[in-house]
Amino acid sequence: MKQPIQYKRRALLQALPVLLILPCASTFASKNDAVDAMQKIIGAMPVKDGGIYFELSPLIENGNSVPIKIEVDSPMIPHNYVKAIHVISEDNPLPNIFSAYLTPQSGKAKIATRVRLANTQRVWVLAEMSQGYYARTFADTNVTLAACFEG
Amino acid sequence: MSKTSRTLITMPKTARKGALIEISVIAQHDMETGFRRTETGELIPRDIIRTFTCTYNNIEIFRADLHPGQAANPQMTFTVIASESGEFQFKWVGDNNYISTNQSFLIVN
Repeated sequence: MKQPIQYKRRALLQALPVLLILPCASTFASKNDAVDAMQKIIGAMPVKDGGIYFELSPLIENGNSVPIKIEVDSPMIPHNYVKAIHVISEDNPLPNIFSAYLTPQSGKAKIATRVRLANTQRVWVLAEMSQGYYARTFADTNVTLAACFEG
Repeated sequence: MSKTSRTLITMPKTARKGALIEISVIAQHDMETGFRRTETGELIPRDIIRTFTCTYNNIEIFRADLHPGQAANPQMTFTVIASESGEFQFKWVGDNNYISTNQSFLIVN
């Protein structure tokens, strides 16, 4: 009488490793992917560190919606303005997060948005200046609940 | 058939000439990353908004490329100088023929 029950339990136990492994099969971008993505944007232009105010909380409880604020030092006049702002992640499945393109009409190089962060990581901001160089900065953050794969 | 969804624009109705105004936009969208799986292990296909553009009297003043790293219901805040009275056109374009448009008027005095 007890045999059928045992068989069911055995089958379930045998299937357990498969059930556990399936959701874990994933690929994360590495630091190199972020460097490649930045190189692709920058090309042969010179890069200067700093000149950007980047607001990102050092501790994030939920990576699914992370508010960020970026402000670039620029007078935003026709011959000296910020053409584009790029946000690059080191440890998301894809390095590119967000790109914004501005004009002198913007008046201020100031943007805010909400992003997803998959892990505790460093986030880079690149700003393309009309004078032919890129400004760059980064912020480190700790993420307790990862995005992209859960929730 | 194209998909669309609710969008919301937050900006002043009037402004002084030359003043800096802040525009905040939000679109209702799941922004499915294409990395999540169902309970049976199947990959959920990517479905996101790809680009957003804002024009002021038919001149483009702000454009953004969105990636799966953007949070659900993408929200963006940017600034513009109020130079003349006119119309702002907002447009979101995404996967699976997603298109949403919205507009707003600004009176400059």
